[in-house]
Amino acid sequence: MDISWQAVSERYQPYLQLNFVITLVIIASPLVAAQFIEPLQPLLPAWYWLLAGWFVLLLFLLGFIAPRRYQYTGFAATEVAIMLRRGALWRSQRGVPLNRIQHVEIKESWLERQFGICQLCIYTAGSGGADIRIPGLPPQLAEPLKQQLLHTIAAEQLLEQNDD
Amino acid sequence: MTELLWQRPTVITIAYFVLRQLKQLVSNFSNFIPMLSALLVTGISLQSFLFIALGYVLFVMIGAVLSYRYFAFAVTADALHMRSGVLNRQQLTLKFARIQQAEIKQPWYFRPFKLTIIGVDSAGSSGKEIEIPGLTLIAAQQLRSQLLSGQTAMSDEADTTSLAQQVDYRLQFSLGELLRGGLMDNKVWLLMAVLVYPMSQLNVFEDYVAPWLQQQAVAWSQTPAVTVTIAVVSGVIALFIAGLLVTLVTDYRLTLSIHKGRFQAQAGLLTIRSLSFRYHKLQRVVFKQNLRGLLLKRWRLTLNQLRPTVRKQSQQQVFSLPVLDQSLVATLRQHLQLPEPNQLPWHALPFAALLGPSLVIALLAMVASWWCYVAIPMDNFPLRLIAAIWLLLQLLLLVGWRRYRWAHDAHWLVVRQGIVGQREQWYPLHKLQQINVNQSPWQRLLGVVTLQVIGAAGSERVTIQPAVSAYQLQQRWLTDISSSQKSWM
Repeated sequence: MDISWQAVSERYQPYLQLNFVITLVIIASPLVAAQFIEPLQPLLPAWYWLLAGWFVLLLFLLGFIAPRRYQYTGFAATEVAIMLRRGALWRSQRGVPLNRIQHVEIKESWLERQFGICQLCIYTAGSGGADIRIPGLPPQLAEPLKQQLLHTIAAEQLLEQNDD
Repeated sequence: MTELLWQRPTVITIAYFVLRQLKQLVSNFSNFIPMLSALLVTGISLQSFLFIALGYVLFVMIGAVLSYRYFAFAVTADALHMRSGVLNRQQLTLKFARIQQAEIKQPWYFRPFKLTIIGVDSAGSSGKEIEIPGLTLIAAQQLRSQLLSGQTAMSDEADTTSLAQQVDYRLQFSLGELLRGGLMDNKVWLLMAVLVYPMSQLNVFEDYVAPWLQQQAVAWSQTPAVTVTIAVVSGVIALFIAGLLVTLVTDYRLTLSIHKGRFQAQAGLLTIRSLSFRYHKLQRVVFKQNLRGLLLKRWRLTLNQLRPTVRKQSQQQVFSLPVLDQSLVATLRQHLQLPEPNQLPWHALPFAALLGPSLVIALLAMVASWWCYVAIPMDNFPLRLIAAIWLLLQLLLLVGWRRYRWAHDAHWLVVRQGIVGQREQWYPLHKLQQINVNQSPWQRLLGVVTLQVIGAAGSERVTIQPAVSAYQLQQRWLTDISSSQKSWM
């Protein structure tokens, strides 16, 4: 069966890149601070090696992981399920049947708001965090999708009661 | 909305509230240790200490009486209402249709009065179990069948009374079988875990056991080794027997009855517990056989319902039957509407499924040996040890991979795995919550994927080759689930 995948907002890629930069700066900052207070030379390789490694990692994340992840990320609301593709190297294609959705939520972090994107979280009753998060959605897309899903849930429950 | 008819339990129920308070006190005992030690350090007299203790007991008693005073429940056509709390009042409403399982407990202190506690398990995310104490056994049974069937009492009254006489299936486990069950699944470890926690809180080991052991070590070094060995072995045996006794007390006269899709297990010597749920709430079936089970030719069955993830394992009342022989397993398969395993198309795992984990182990072994080589040169022993561990792990992996089987038909997905023992897990397909297809970079090279199904009681991963068939299964199951209008929770 063919699924008509919908791409996420193109602002998702710069968002991911900025996110990676922030994460790497946060990781590096205690090391830099420690270097000024008391050099960690005996334990660690020379600072230029560390810096080189840090830059290689940064380039890898910015130039490879972020674009790949953006390209692969996609979602599809089929008649039976909501589907999500995620990942760059480790990829996954997830599916939640429409009649198993418990509730739906739109989340936006401060950083996401700066890029004008948000996340749509879809919760199920499954064990061990069986939830789907669709990242990088523009709000004008997320809101109708949320309404549509909520509508499906409401219709589903009516059906169930008629069943009894 | 109709007026609720609030009911209050009988006065004897105060005992339940007292015990509940005491239980809380014991489980929160570690919170009092700083206060107690402060009292001890300040050199408080025994008299005033007793005074404080007495005051506390009085406080507990008054608390119990008050919580009894403010406790009430009401049953309407489709919901259970409960109100409780002395200062912070709460009123709770639970729809019958959301109840996963119900338990009737006849605790030892209520048995002389022929009273019970009924406990129901909802699937709420806070995962609280609701208990109503002080019902008579017949009232509790009526209420339970009402709760589980989600209907009014009228139609079910006949059902309840007839339940004792005629049921679809009924089995009482003999003492011999229960002993076997105790051997298979000894409760020693449970006892130890219960003992270890308070001991870890009180530093018993550091403060008392270790010095004592040091003292004794001198004495022991003079006694012959045989005596020490005998003492240790007999200690272990005593613990094992204690574990067996615990099993016998809790599982005494274990009776399984199945009637109109309602499963019920009742057992207990002092406190009688009877747990029951309806078939359509079933989310997972697990048949398990460990090494001892293999030798005794017995299986253990666990039936799971919807479980909120936040709840701790220890709090759960799980419906399980500890000891089943081959014919009983076959009978229960029928009652659980599981297909005949011989007729299922069992699949093995593809060779590629072995590659990933093997690679990880090999890599870890290499890193470990490199580290050893750098850190401890001139000594071959660690390297040999690492090699031996790697070989062992690799062998276990190989055996596990070879024995792994999975199958599915129109209604069930089953996974069978185990290295020495066996574990067979059945998931009803139309109740699955999410179906994922995952692929790691090396899996993409090999054309393999991992299919992950997530149900309300657990999840399972199966590696599949070729990848296309996994995507097809995903689409097919998603379609089946969304078109299924059977109730799933």
